[in-house]
Amino acid sequence: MALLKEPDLGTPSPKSHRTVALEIDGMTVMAEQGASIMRAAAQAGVSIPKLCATDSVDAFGSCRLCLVEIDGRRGTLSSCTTPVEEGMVVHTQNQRLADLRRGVMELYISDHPLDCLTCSDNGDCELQDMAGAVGLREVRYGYDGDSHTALGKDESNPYFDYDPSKCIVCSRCVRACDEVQGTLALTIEGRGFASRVAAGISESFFDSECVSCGACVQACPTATLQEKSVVEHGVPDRTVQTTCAYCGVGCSFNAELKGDQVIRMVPSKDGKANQGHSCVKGRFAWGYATHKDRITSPMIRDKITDPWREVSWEEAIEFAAAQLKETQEAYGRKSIGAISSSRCTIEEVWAVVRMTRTAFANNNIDTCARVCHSPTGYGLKQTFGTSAGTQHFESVQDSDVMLLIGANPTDAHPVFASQMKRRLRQGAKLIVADPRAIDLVRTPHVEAAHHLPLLPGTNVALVNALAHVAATEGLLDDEFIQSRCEGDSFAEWLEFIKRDENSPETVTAILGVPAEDIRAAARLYATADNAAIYYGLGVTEHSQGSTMVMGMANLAMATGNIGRSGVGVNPLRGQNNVQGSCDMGSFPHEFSDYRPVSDETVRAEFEAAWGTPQDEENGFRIPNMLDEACAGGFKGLYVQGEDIAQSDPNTLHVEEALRAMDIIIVQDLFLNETARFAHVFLPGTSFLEKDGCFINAERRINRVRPVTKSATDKDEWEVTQALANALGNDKMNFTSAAEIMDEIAALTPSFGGVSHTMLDEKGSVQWPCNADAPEGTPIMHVDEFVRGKGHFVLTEFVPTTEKANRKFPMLLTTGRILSQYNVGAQTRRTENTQWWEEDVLEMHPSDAEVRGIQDGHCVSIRSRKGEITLKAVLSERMAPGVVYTTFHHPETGANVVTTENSDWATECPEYKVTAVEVTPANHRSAWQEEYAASTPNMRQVAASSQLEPAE
Amino acid sequence: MRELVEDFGGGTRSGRPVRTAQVGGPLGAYIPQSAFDVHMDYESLSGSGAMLGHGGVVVFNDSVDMARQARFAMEFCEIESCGKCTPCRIGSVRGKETLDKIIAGANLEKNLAVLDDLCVLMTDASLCAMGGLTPMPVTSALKHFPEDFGSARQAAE
Ligand code: SF4
Ligand code: SF4
Ligand code: SF4
Ligand code: SF4
Ligand code: FES
Repeated sequence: MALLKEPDLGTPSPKSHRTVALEIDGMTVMAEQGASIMRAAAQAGVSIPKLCATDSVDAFGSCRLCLVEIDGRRGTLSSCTTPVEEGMVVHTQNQRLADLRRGVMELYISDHPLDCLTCSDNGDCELQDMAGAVGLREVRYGYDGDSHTALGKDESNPYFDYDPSKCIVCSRCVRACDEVQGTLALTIEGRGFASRVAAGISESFFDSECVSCGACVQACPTATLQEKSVVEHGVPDRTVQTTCAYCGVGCSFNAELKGDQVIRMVPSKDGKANQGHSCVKGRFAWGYATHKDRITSPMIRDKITDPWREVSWEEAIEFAAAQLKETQEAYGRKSIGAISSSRCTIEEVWAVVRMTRTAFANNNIDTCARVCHSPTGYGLKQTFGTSAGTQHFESVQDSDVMLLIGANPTDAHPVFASQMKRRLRQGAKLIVADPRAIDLVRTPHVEAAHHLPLLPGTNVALVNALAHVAATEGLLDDEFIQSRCEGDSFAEWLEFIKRDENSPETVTAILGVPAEDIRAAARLYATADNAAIYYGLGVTEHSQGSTMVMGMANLAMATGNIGRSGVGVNPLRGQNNVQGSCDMGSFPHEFSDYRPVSDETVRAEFEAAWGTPQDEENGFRIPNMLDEACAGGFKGLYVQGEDIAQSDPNTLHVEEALRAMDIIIVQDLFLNETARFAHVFLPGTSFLEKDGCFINAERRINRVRPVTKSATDKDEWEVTQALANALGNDKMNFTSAAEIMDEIAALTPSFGGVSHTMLDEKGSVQWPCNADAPEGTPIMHVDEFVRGKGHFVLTEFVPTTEKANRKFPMLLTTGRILSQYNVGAQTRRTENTQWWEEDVLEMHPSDAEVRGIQDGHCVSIRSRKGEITLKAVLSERMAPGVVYTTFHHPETGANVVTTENSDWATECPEYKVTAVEVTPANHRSAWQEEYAASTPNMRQVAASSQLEPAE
Repeated sequence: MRELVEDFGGGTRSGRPVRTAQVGGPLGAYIPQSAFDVHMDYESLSGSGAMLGHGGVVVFNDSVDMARQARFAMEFCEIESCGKCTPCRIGSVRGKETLDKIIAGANLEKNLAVLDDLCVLMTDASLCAMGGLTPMPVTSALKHFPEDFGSARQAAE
């Protein structure tokens, strides 16, 4: 489509259900009560000139272009700041107003460079538009007066420039940073004519608090804050709407192109998850899609020490199929399996799941959710009856108390963090349970009511203590429990939770948090009108991850915080489509919609649809595949867009397993760490090339649309389909992603009403979406739980076996940071590395001191599993005794030290707790040396025949 | 007011004839000596195009240059402007510059028209009374002492 200009109503919706009638330019107009005259007029098709107003931020009333006359009121009033009233009579156009508006524009232009023809914003500039709209013909002041036109640019941010010479001081950027992003990095420095936008206290944008979310750039009406890509390539001319491929927030974007080149990604205002906001990753870090490291031709090799050979698609598929068949013949049907990717679309995942269950004829299919939110799936299914979060993001605007456990939204789910911060600035209270003092504990205009810096591995003791306080202090919601939950499981739970072993006074020693803080936090949560729990991998990636999820579900049910806006139990899911890859049945024990493979009726449905018998036995989970590989029984693996060699725990064990396999097929954009051990490389497509859907953390099915054409000439599902068909057994004949979605809908009850056409019409829906809920389901468990009555589970605290002792006296916990994403395959290939060049070890100064470690020193970190070297950063954010690192860079090898200790129910690895010792170091660890030495060989690509010089 | 200036105040300190007085602060109007027969209350002053403001009265003798006083008003606004709204932030600077041109006798007719328009703009469109009242001393000076602005000024110099 042509360049989409989203309508700007000038001021935000007052979110009122009442309407008032008024007259604007002789027309009777109905408007929301509390709306500005400007908004009411815009909705009625009357556009009032404006520059300082935009509907993402509150009205400010500074440019004075939007003046109107109102019968019975003196003077001229700014329509952006004046609310509508019943019976008001407004005039937006007359000679007086026209003169005033022209006068304002004359002033603006008298302090503006006359650069339009060579300006990067030419054609996309509101200042230009307004000069035209008010009919400015002459600037009678001349251009020799005082001005800012000689000011120089700040080009420090890698993605956008700040050119103060073009600034009209409308403050839209400042307000966007305050209200939309909530970072408050910008201010207007100086006063009067000297006023100018400044980042921090006269810092450059790069050095300031700015997190490069792009909200200010989006809000700026001129070329002052401008994407570098637009400066370089010019204003784009067409738009494709799509979805970010990074985190589980699932922001909608307008990809803006010029020809077939993406110029910029602009967050869509009608994106229901992000409502026009973005973070640095989705907004700016998409350049990896055309990075030189990207592989676009299929490649094969016989041994992992051979160089890769580029081959045709046919040859690669044939080679892969032959190897897989051979393996199954030699080692049995169950000797091969697949891992589907949470970065791919549900349609692509579906193809892999189907291939495994038909062509591989087994259930050896798992997904990277295994290592992140599998306990969420398990825990919420047990208690509520469905494996997904309960709320839509918007719900947080109704929360009075937020309990945030083991999640760091400002870094990992930045756009949702901005929504939380907005609500917190309005006065909602926050409780943070995290070993680290994450940003939300104290950030401009937000301060947590309680920070409970519990020791890693003690979550369950905490949630039990919170519930204990609620239960023993009479703070339970008896009515909710009676009408909505099971009587007997509740009674049993009540008896358990009231026991002294769960009291704050008992667990304080385990948690390292004072009992009174636990009590105060519990009271705050339990007495709130609407209290919501948000959590992340700090909950799930533990030996008791599933227990903790159920503990939170218990607490929410017992206090009646389920089934309406503002409450709930909400996983902040990591990857763009991790919800979707789970929903599609990428599990060794479940079909789509979380139906067990042991269920005969379900199997019969799939057998009928796919024409192959379905195995009733559970397949292998990822850890089982790896263990079996080491034991010699599992020999072949198809890995779609996941890098287990970097992301999974205990790297040495993973590498041993990978080396033991006969055939590894990697489908990815890059020769990732796992591909070092692979025999077939099937080049994948980036999100900019995909057609399909991602499902975000709020169960929202968002469309991903091809923005550019596939760099490999194929869609990923097409490749999977070709391989499945080459193996025999299945005859997949999809001709489009839409057809795959139709099959998903036909075989997955919660998706019964979903199709691409329907999504294109509605924008997005949240599953369940079927005959019972044709519009989708923003909030779950409203009248009853999916399983009927809410089920309480006893959640006894069992300490992890991974304990600190004399030899390993500290606990390591891992996480991620804003500018990098997980294994970093994408973000490391963008300018985001300017913010985070390497993984470092954060430690408390007191721990450092006793070890003779100074800030910036190299340190060795050793666990029972392995050892790595990295740089120490001293930080008071850490509790003493706890150290923290990220795993964004493969050469660091953070997972060399993590263990395969895992959740008892789902085998989700315990990344968050590893007992370690930290000592000063002056060389790389043995693994790091070996990695550096062997990797170049394992990545070699033979000079391909096509590349040979022509005669 | 005449009573206040002449009887209580005893006229100008230098003893030179009174030419005008500014009432109500730096943004108050200049009242010519001939119009001093007015009550010092809100209604009467605003009836004669002035304002009581903070009540202060600054008396000028016949050596005052009213174009410079008008310029001073714009300069005062430039210094005091918070910078939020456009008419005040940029208008005050352009007002001062335009008055400089007028004082220098450049393009008088055009610049006086520009100044007039700017005064209307600042009065009607400014966000607060800072920019909104700045034109008051300017327009009152223009109205009552045109000889200090027009070609008569050049002739006198
Ligand atoms: S910012 Fe707008 S008005 Fe200014 S030079 Fe650029 S296009 Fe022209
Ligand atoms: S940088 Fe842009 S948004 Fe910010 S004040 Fe200047 S013109 Fe307005
Ligand atoms: S990019 Fe975001 S954080 Fe940075 S100044 Fe702009 S709005 Fe604020
Ligand atoms: S990474 Fe997440 S928060 Fe950032 S733009 Fe993408 S979906 Fe939105
Ligand atoms: S748009 Fe209303 S004052 Fe700027």
